[in-house]
Amino acid sequence: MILVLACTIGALYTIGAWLLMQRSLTRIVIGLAILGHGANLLLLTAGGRAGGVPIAGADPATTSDPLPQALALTAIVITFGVSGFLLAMAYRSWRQRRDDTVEDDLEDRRLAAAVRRLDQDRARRETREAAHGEIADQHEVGVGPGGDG
Amino acid sequence: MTDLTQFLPDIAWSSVAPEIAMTVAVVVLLLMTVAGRRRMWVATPMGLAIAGVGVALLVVESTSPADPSLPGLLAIVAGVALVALTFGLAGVPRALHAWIAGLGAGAALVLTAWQIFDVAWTGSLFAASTTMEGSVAMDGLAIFTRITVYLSTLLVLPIGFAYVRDRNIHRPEFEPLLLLSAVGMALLGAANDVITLFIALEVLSIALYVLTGSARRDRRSQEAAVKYFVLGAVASAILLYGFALSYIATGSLELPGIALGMADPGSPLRLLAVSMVLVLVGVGFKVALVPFQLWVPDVYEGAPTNVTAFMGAATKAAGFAAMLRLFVVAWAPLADLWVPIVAVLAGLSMAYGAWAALVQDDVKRLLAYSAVAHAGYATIGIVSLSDAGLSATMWYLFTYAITSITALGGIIAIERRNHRAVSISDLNGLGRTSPALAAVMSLALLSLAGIPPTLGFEGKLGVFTAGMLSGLTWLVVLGVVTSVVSAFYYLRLMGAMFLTDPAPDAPVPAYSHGWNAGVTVAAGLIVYLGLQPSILLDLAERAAVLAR
Amino acid sequence: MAVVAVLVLHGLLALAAGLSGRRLGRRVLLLVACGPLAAVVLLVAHALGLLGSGALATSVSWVPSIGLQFDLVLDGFGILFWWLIAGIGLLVMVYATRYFAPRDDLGLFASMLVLFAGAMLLLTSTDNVLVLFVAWELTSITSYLLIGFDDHRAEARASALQALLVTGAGGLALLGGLLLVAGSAGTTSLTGILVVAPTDPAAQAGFALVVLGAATKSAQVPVHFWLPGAMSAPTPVSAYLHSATMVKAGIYVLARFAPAIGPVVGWWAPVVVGLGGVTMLLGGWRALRATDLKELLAYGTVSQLGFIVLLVGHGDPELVHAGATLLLAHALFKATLFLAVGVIDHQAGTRDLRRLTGIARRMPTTALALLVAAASMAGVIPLFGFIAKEAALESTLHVGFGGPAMTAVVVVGSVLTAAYALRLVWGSLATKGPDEVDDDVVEPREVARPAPGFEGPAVVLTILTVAFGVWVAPADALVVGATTALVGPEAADIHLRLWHGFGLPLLLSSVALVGGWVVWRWPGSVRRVAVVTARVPDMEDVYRGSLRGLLAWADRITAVVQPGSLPLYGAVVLSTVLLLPGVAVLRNLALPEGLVVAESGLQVAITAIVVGAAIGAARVRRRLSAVLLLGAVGYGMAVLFVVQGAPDLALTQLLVETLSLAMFVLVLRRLPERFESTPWRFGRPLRVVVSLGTGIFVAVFTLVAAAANRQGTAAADFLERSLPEGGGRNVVNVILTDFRALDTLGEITVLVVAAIGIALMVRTPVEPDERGEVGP
Repeated sequence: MILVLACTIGALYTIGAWLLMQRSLTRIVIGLAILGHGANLLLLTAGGRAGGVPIAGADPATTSDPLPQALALTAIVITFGVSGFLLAMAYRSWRQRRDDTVEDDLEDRRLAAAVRRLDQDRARRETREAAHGEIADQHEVGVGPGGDG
Repeated sequence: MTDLTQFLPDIAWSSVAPEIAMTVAVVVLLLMTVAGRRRMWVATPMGLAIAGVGVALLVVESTSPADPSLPGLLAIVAGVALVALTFGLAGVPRALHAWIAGLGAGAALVLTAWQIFDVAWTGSLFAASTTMEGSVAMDGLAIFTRITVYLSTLLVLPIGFAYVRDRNIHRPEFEPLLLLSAVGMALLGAANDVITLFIALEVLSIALYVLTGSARRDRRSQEAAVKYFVLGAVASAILLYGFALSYIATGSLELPGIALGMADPGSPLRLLAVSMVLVLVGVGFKVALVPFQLWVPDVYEGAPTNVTAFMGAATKAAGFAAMLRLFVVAWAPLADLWVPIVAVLAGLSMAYGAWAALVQDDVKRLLAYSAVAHAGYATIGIVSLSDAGLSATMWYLFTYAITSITALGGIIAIERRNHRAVSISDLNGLGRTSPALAAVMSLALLSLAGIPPTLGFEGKLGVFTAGMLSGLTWLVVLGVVTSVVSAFYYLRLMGAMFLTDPAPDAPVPAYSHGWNAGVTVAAGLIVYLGLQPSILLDLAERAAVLAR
Repeated sequence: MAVVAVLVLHGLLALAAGLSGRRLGRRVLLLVACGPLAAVVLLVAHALGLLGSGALATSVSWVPSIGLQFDLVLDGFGILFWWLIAGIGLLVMVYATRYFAPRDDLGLFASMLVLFAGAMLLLTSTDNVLVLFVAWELTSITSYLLIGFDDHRAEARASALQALLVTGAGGLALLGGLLLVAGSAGTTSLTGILVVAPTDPAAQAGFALVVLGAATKSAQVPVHFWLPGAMSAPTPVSAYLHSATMVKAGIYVLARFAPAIGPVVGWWAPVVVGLGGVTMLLGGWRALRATDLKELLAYGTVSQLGFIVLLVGHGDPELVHAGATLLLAHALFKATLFLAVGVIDHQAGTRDLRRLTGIARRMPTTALALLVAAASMAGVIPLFGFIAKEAALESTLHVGFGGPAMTAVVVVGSVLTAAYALRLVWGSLATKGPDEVDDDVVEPREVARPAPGFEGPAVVLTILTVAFGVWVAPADALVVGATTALVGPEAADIHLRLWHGFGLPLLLSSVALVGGWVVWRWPGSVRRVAVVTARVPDMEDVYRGSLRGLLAWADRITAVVQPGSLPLYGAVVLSTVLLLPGVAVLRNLALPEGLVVAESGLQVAITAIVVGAAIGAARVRRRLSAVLLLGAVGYGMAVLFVVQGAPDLALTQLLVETLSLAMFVLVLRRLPERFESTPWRFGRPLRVVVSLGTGIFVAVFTLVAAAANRQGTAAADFLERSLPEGGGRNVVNVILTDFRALDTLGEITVLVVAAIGIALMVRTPVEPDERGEVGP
């Protein structure tokens, strides 16, 4: 194994992962593409050291493994298709919202806000109870969710 | 002059016959889209060609006039039906597309049945063999997965037809994508080497990403698609890396070959363990096991509901089929290592899914979290590592597919008129305003909760029994406990339907002929197979045969 | 087969009633009464010896592969239950024809009622624990629908749901328990399990779950609270489900298990008997405070159920015998009381004892029935309730260890029983003084006389209560049959007698009656005693509190786990990859020997360019620059492929990269020139750690993998077969187009799908959001 190649693969994965964790869709596409390059290189090096071109009749001991090459070829094409589609989505997002970032989910944010509100309510209630020295109110609880927002 | 026939490959067409039918339907649909108004110019030659192939098959394949080749007959019927449909539905291209897609899925289902009885049946069990240089398996798992996938397709098509039309998101590309994704799923269930498996996964995934984002005017749909897509791409990359490692370590791409290489005493176990984990991440993402479930709620909610139904039902079946094959065949020698890990993930999925579903207001999100829990239940069969577990998982996925399609079918009817998410309060008083819909929904919910005598109960009982037999008592107990929790939120929905007064501005459900037909069949299956599961359950049991 | 026929008949009647309810009106209740009637006919035929010996046992397969099989065996204990279910069912259905005003949905009601009866009959006649569970859940669901029948009342809906949640959860606990026990015993047959009587830890946990499930169904403390709530059901339902039959399903299960399990599982008897004792006392105490007559009866039922559990839970033959007797007695008198209270409620329009007065004179027949039943409940000689109480005291006195405590509980419980019986009689029938009633009292003359036939069912049951007291033989036969079925032939000698002679049991019975009168007459004195004891936490509050807590916590956890942010999700997935195997691997790491830094200078130069360009692509702020740098990475890769001996790959990479570049440039031309800086939901350090971790992980593994590289046999194989089989010299090409042509087809399909997707995204015109939601 060649250290340089391993390090290159590592670097490509690092950069790809970094870009994937961004909000801008364009950056995510670039990240995916770089990740794809890393994966292809990995597949290729999986076949062992650099060898002769796999041509029928060559000595198997000196040629590179043809199967990973075929696999990498497939991966290149698939990555191309995937990037194309994601790019189209980024473009559409831009046309629709003048923005190509991915937002947090609305419903999840609603829930988080509800929990924050619940905490505030509780804090308020506790201070009130401390003031009155009374037992907790026993208002009816239906079967609805605790924090309705 | 070289004899060219020596280069003619010998291809076992019968092992992918259903997929061929589906692909033909896709090609016809795409060509028709291109042809526009001149669709007869496509339908007539295509229909003739299909029927011609049928005649050829009848002549070549039939053993006797009394026992004609079923694919041949089917092709003739399909070819004629294609032309007839194109004539009959000339004025309604959308309906025509849906019908052709249905024709394809129906043919695929018939061919699957044909595969069972004419190709892969030894009299008592499924025969296991591989074709295409060992990359496609022809065994019980492959065929049973086809049943689930194609039946789901066939149910989702009519149920969602009017829905996509109403929302104006019905495009000619819709049906081809659905069918292609189903083909990918069926192949995923049959893939016996990692490359085929990976490609099948990509076909189904990308088609699903597109379908998820197909409600193009709906921002949520777009965002859901992006999330699903990006995370899916990451998961695929991880899966691919895992496969590369296993190839390095064992020198084989075929699953049985990987197992052989692993069983070799000199094999690098640590490397194989890592590849196992990477593969687990990849497939765990597809079947939505904790902690790879994060995308599920957003995507379930954002996608058009008929896509959600299809995704929830069929993808799960296909993903689990792949998971079963990978772990029970390829990584079998490392069972001591992966069984505890996967069992813990199953437990986490059940617990988290049930827990988080408790607080959801949006019905689709609630069902999404419950889907996570159901992934956990299905996994119990895998970690049971027995034939009983294998068939229990397949059977469970079938029951879940039918049930979740019914439940989401109910949501579709409600969503059609009010173009926003359906919250629990939207169900209020449904029992009074639309008793039939409420009855169907309740049936599905009872089945999801696993309450007898519904289909879901039979499914749960199967996996729990398998788990008990394999000594996974803790997991089964956890399963029962989370079932109790989940019964709470399913029944809460029922309570909203039957025990509350309808709101004045409650959405009025809308039905269509297709919806009626699809949901009636699905609900009928829940009841009928709930009472009389033996027909398919026997099949599932006999399908616990894997090509190794 | 007769048993099967009866069960099937119930199912068919449920269907028929549901379909024809609207047409038949109230007569639909008489239609469904045919179900219990058939069961009664069967039982009578059996009692008269008209049926062959094997007539009551049969087996029908349902789903044999997962152990679901209807093994129907109706033994003595089952027969006792069948009498209760069918007999009281018949009376209740007749009664209901008078109770309900004509309404549209009576068909549904009748359907549910007969379905419930069928489920109950199935529950008590199957030998298969899984079928038992199925029947158990069916009774829970039908009960839920029956309680919520008056669904226009919010209170009815809430209590229906509460009952369903509690008993439904209990049912699943039962399922878990039964599965565990069946797993240990290796059979799903109830008798089989009892013969094996497994005691391993899993089975013990299973038994605990079974007890929990049974306790919820039979309303034992602390999960009793659903039963008083369920009183919002129509009275026929209360009489049938919530006193005579459904609530006894838990007792049925406990009684089946106790004789076999009690002796071998140490904790069983103390726990179950203790549960029953506490329930008996608490229920009796709460009944004294009730003002709603049905609530009073409900707490009375809780108390009596506790009493029965105390008796049957021990497993001793004599106690079981007493328990079976009490089971029968309780069904007779409690159903009567409910039916009578139902008549009063129906005629007077209230069942609040502070608003009732002078009822006895308005409806003497009902009053008499209620009086006799209450006397039987309190244990007045010569009624059947007295016999049961005598048998109970007789048997607890004979128990060695714990006997005195049990006796004491029974006596105190009986004092309370007598007291609330008096309260019931006084509250419902007496003519009260002005200071004993509220202002809005219902005057006796406002109370209409009951319609003919309305009081009939209560009278029939009252006659039985008296008759069994005086002529004990038929009841004795029934109870002995039940006891022998549970504990074996040794119990055949224990018989019921009206008169046990003057002894300790009689004395204690008398004490209970007198004590009860004292408690009822001077409640204040007792209440002062009770105040000393700590206030029992109301389990209903606990139920609500835990429900609320559960929901709040679920909220909280979901909010933390599911923040909805894509970058964070990506980080989670990647971290899992790092954490799971990474830890295992970084311990004793073996790097390959013969590690080569680089094979050629060219390699170093190209990789440097690739990495540099990639870093640049990640860092630049201009979109176009980023894309151009990405292109540089791609072309660099192509050159690297050539160096690595993969010209096909290089060619493909070159083509694809050019296409991609064109595509990117076309799209990005329209987007803003620079990336915007957006606020982060989670920190930069985390992302740095995750991405660096990913890179290091992959690099290390590539090295480790290389050390373990086992050149596949596939390679040599392909080299050899390429020309003769594939007809080509370029092995990679042959693989793609021949050996693995299917994969190439799949790859093309992927491109087709992606192309369709791109077309969808780009071609459709942009319109405003459909859901009208605007970004923040």
